[in-house]
Amino acid sequence: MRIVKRVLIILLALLSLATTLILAGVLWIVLEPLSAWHFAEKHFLPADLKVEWQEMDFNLKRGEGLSFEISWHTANLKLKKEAPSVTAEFDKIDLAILVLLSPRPSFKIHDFALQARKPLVYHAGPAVEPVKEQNLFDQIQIAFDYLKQARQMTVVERVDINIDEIQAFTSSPKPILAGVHLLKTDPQKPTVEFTASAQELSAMVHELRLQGRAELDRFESVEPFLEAKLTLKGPKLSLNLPLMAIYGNGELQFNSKPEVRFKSGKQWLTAKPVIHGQINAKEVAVALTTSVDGIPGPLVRVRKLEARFHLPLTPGQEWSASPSTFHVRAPLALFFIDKNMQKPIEKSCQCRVPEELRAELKGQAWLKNFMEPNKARLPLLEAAFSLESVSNKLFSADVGATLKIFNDKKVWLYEPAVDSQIVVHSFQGLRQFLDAKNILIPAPLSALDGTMTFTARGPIAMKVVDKNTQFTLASAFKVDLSSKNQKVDLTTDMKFTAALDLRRADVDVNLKIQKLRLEMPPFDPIYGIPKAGRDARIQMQPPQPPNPKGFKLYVHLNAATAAPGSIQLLSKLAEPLIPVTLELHRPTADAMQGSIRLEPFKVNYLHRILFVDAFRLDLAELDDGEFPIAGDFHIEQTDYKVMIHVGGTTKVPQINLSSDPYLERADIISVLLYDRTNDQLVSGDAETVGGVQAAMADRAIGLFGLWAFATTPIRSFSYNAVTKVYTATVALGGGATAGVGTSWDQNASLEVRKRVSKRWVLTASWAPSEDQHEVGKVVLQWEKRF
Amino acid sequence: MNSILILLLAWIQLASAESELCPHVILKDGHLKLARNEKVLICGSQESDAWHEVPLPQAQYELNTILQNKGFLNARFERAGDRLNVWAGPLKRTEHLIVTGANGLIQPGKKRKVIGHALDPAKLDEVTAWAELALRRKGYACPKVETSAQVWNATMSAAVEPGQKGVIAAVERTGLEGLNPAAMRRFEAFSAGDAYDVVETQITVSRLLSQGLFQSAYFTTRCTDDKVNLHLFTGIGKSRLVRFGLGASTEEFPFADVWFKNARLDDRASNFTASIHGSNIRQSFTAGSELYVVPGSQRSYLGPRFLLEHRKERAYETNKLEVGADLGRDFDLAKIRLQGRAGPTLNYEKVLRGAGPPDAKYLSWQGSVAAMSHAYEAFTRDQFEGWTGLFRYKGQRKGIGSQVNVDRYGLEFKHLWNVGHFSPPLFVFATRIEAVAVDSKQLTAVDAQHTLPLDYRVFFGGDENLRGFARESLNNHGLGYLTALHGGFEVRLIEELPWHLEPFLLWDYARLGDRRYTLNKPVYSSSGFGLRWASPFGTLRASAARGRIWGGDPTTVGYRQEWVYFLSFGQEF
Repeated sequence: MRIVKRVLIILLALLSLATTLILAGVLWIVLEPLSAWHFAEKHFLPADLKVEWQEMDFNLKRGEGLSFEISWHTANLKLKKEAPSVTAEFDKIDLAILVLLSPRPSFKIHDFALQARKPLVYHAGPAVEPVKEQNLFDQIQIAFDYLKQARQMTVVERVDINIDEIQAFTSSPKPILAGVHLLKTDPQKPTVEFTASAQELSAMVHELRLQGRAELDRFESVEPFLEAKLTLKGPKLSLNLPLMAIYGNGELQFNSKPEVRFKSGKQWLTAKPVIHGQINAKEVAVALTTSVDGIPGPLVRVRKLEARFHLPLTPGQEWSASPSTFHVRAPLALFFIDKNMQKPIEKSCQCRVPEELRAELKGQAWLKNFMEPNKARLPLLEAAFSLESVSNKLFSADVGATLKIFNDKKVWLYEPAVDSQIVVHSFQGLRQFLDAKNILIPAPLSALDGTMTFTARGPIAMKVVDKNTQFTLASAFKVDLSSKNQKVDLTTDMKFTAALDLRRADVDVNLKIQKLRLEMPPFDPIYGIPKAGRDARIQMQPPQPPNPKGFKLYVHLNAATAAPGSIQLLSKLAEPLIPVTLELHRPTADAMQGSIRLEPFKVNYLHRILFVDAFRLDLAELDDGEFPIAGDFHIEQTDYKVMIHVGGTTKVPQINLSSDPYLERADIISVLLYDRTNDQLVSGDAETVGGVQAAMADRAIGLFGLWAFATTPIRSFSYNAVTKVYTATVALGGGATAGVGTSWDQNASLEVRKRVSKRWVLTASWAPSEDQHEVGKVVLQWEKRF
Repeated sequence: MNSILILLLAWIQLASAESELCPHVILKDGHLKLARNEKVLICGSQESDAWHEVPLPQAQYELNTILQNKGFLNARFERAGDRLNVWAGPLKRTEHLIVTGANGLIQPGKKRKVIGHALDPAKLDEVTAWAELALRRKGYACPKVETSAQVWNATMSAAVEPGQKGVIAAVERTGLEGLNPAAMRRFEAFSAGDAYDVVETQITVSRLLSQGLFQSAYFTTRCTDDKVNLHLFTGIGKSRLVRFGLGASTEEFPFADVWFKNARLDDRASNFTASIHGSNIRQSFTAGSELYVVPGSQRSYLGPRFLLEHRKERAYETNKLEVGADLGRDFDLAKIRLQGRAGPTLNYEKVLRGAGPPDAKYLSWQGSVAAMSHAYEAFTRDQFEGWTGLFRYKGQRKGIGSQVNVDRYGLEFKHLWNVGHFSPPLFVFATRIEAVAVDSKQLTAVDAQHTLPLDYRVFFGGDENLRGFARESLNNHGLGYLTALHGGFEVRLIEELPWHLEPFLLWDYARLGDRRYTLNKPVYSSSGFGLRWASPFGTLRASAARGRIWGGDPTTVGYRQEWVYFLSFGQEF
C-alpha cells in the first residue's frame, strides 16, 4: 500500500511537472512567439525550410471551462523550401480556433482565411517512388476515416483559402499554372465550395478546371457527398465530366455522364459515355456505356459501346494477385452500305446485308504484375477480340484475334494470334458495292465473278529489333474469278511485319499465278494507243520534301507464274493469245529483279502475220523507266523470211535485221514493207525504205513503232532527220489508208503519194525548177528501175 | 438586229451545250473528240465481253488523263446515279517559258506559240524539238533537253545541256556500191572542219535523193568531245530509171511524160537524162547529161544538152531546136550553195505565130550563176528565211548564124526576212528584185526588134512579178521589152490562222524600157493581199492585186488597170 502511495505521489509529481512544463511552454509561445518559432525552426522543422513574416499575432485566451480561444494572424508570410523547392508568399493567414479539452478534445475553426496573391512557385525534384501498402479502397477508406474523425473533432465554420497562382515546374518545358479557391461561408451548413484550375498541364491538356462542392456531413449517407465538374481542354482533347460520388456502407459509388471529344486527324470524335463505378473493400467495378460519333474509319461506325471493368482488391495490398477482367462489346454499324445501296446489293446476293456486326473484346489483366515487376515470367494481359460471324451469298466473315502479354524481367513479351477468315462469295457484288463508293475495279477485271478468300490463322510472331518490338502476321489470299473468256486463279501468301510504333510496316507477298487470262482492250493500233497516265513532265504541285516521320509501307513482292505462259492476254490481234511468263522479285522498294517473257505467238493484223518467237523484258531497271529487252520476231514474206532481233533497252532499242536468204538491211526493210527488194521499188517507196532506215538509226522508232512497222503494211513513210519526226501512212485494206506519226497518236496529214497499183503511183509534187520558177503538178506515174 | 440576236443566242446555246461522250458520260462544257481507242477505255466496246462496259470510276480516271494530256488540268467530275457528268474546266495556258543551262544559245523570248497556249505534252514536245534544233544548228550535235511544266505557276521549263560545240571530224560513207566517195563531196553542204549544223546534213540528203543517185540516204551522228563524226548510209538502186506519167500542172492540162535517167554512168556519178513531154501547149524532147570527166575535179562537169520543142502560147507559137554543151561546177562556200554553168548553144528557131524571126539559126552563148543560202535551201517549202540569187546570160553574135549581136543579162534576187527571228516566225518580210537588160545596138528600130528571138524579149505581168497585171500582159504590144527593173515585197503572217493558212499583203513595182539600158517613165505597181496554204502536197496561193500605172505614156495605152486574181499551185513569192 505504501508502495502504491509512493508511486501515486511520484506520478502526481510528474504530472504536475508536465502540466507546469506544458503551461510554461504555452505561456512561452504566447508571450515570446518569435523565440518559440526560432526554437521550433531550429529543432523540429526541416532544415531547408525558411519561414519569414512581416507581422504575426498569436493570441491565446482562456474561455469557459477547459477551453481556449486561439487566434493567429500573419501578414506577408514568406515560405521557402529546398528540395522540392517551394517559394510562397501569403498576404495573410488568419486562423481563429476554439480548442475544447473537455468533455472530449475538439476543435472549432471559427475562421480560416488564407490569401496568396503572388505566385506560389513549386519546383518538383526527382520523382520518389511512394511506398504504398494500401490498395485504392484502403486509401479511400483511410481518407474518409480521417475526414470522419476530423469531422467529429473539428467544426469548421468559415474557410476562405485563396491562392491565385501556383507555378509548378515539372519535367515538362512549360510550368503548370494553377489556382485554388476553397470557400465555406455559412457556419450552419456543411458545404464547402471549391474551385481549382490549371493550365499547360501537358501537350495534350492545356486547361483544366475543377469546380464543385463537398458536403462534409454526408460521409455516411445515401446522399452524394461530392458533386463536381471537371473540364479539360487541349488541342486534341476536350472533356466535360460531371461527377457525383456517394460514400456509405464501406463503399464509394460514383456516376458520371461526361462528354469526351478527341481529335483524330482532322476529325473530332465525340463520345458521351454513361459511367457508373463502385469501389469497396473487395473490388473496383466500372461499367461504361457510350456511343462514338465521327470515327473516320472506311468501314465501320461505332454506335454503342458497352464496357465493364472489374478490379479485385485485397486488403493491405496495393494490387491484388487476382486478375482484373474487362469486357467490351460494340456493335459495328456497316454505315458504308448506303440505304439506297442496300436493296440492290441484297437483290444481287440474294441475302440480307446486316446493318450491324457485334464486336467483342474481353480478357483479363494482372495489374499487380504490371505495377510490381517480378523476376519471374508473369502474365500481364489476356485479351480476345471477335467479330460476329456473318455468312450470306455475298460474303462470310469470321474474324478473331487473341493477345497475351507477359512480363519477363521487366521485358514485355507479346503472344498475339489471329483466327480470321473472310470470304467474298460474289466478286460482282463486291464490285457493285465498290463501284457505288467510287472505288475502282477496272475493266476487264470488272467483268469477273467468283470468290476471294482471305485467311489469317495462327500466332503472330514477335521479336525485338533495335529496342523496338516487331510483330509478324502470316496470311493467305486466294482469288478464283472468271468470266466468259477470262480466268483469274491466284494464290498469295502474305507476311505482314510492323513495329509497334507503327512507323514502318513491311509486307512480304508471294504471289503464284496459276492462271490469269484477261481480255486486252480491243484497240486498233493505227488509231493510237491512249496514254496510260498523265504526262509525268507536267508537275501539278511543287515537290514536297519527304516526311521521314510518316508511316511507310514497304511491299516486298515475289510473283511468278505457275507454268510458262500462265498469263494469257486475249487480243483480236494475237493468235491464239499472248502467253506471258512472269518472274518478279522485289526485295526492296527500289530494287526489282526478274523478267517478263512472251512465249511464242502470232500477231495477225491488216493481213500481215508477225511471229513472236521470244521476247524478254528484264525487270532490273537500268535507269528511270529503262529496262533491258531482248526479243526475236520473224515475218514470212513471199520469198523471204525476215528475222528481227531487238536488244538494248526499252528507251533505246537496238534493232538487228536479218533474212533468209540473205539480204542487205535496206532490202530487208524493203521486203518488210513492200514484199520486194529495194531495186524493185519505185522511187517513192525507196525513199520510204530509206526513211525507215534513218528513223531506226536515229532511234526515232521505238518498240511500239517497230511492232507497227513489222505488223502493218506501210504505204509511205517520211522522216525528218532534223526534227526527228516521222509520218507514215498505213494501208488498211480496201484501198483505204490511215496516217500515223512519231507519237503514233496523231493522224498524219494528207497523203503525198497515192499508190494505184504496184507500179502506178499518183503523186502530187512540187519542187523549184532550175530556172527558179516553182511549178506544181499532179501526175499519175508508172516507174521502173532496170 | 433580230438576226444578230438570234445568232448570238444560238452561239451561246452551242457554247454552253453539253455533249454526250458515251451514253453514260456527259461533257457539260467545252468540246472533246475522243479517238476510237480512247472511246474504248471510256465507253467500252461491243467487240469484247470484258470491255463491254467500263466502270464509271475507270471512265473518270481515263477521261481525266485524256483531259490533262490536252491541257485541261482541273477537270471536275460528278456522279449522278449511273451517269458521269464531266466539266472539262478552263484550258490551262502557259504564262512563262524558262530555259536553263543554255548559256544564251537559245532565247525563250524568241519561241512563239507557247505563251498563252495550252500547257500540255504536245507543247512540251514542241519546246523540246525547238531547243534541240536550235542547238543542233549551232554546232551542238548531241544536246540534252529535258522539258517540264509547273502547273502552279503556269511555267514551262527546258533544262538544257548543250554539250561541247563540235566540228565535223570525219564523214564515213556506207552503201556507195562502187561510186567514188570523192564524188559525194559535191553533194555535201559541209566540209570537214566546219561547225556541225544538222540542217546541212539534211540538205545533203535532199540533194542526193533529188538527183536520183540513191534510193535512200541518211546520216547518223556520233559525238566525241568536240568532234562530230558523221556516217552517211545510202541505199543504191538500179542505175536506170524510166517513168511514164499522165498529169496536170498549173500551166498545162493535161500532159504526158516519158522520162528516163541513168544516174550512174560511171563511178563519179555522171548521169544522163532524157524526157518526152506532150501537152496541148508544149511538145518536147530533151536530153542532157552531166559528165564528170574534167580531170582533177569532182565538182566540174561537162554538160551536153539537146532540146526539140514545139510551143504554142497565147502570144506566139514556135518550133525550137537547141544543141549545146556547158561546163559547169557546183560547190558550197560559207553556207551558200553556188552553181554555175556556161557553154555554147546551136539554136534553130521557127516562129509560126507572133513576133520574131520566122526562121532563125544562130549560135548563142548561155551561162548562169546561182547562189542560194543553206537556210533557204533547207526550208524551201516553209519560205521563212534565207536568200537566193541568179545571174543569167545569153548572147549571140552576128555572123555565126545570127542576124544580130545581142546579149541578155538577167539578175534575180530574193530575200526572206524572219522579222524578229521568232520561231515560228510571226511575220516574214519577203523582197525580190529582178533586173533584165537586153543589149544590142541594132535594136534601136522597132523593126529590128522583130528579128529578135523570143528568149530576148521581156514580158511582164503575172504572179511571177507584177501581180496586179495579167500574165505577160505588159508586152509592149507583143514585142516585149528590152530593159526591166522590178521590185516585189510581201509581208506574210505565220501561224496565226487555223489550218496553216497564211495571209499576206503585197506590193510590186516595176519600170520597163523598150530600149536597151533605158527605163521608160511609167511606173507599174501592184498592191493587194493574198492567202497562202502550205499543204502537204504543195503550196496553194491565192492573191488579189490592183494594178496601177503611174505616169503613163503612149506605151501604156491598152494596159488595163484593174483587180487581178491569181490562184496558183506550187508557185511561191
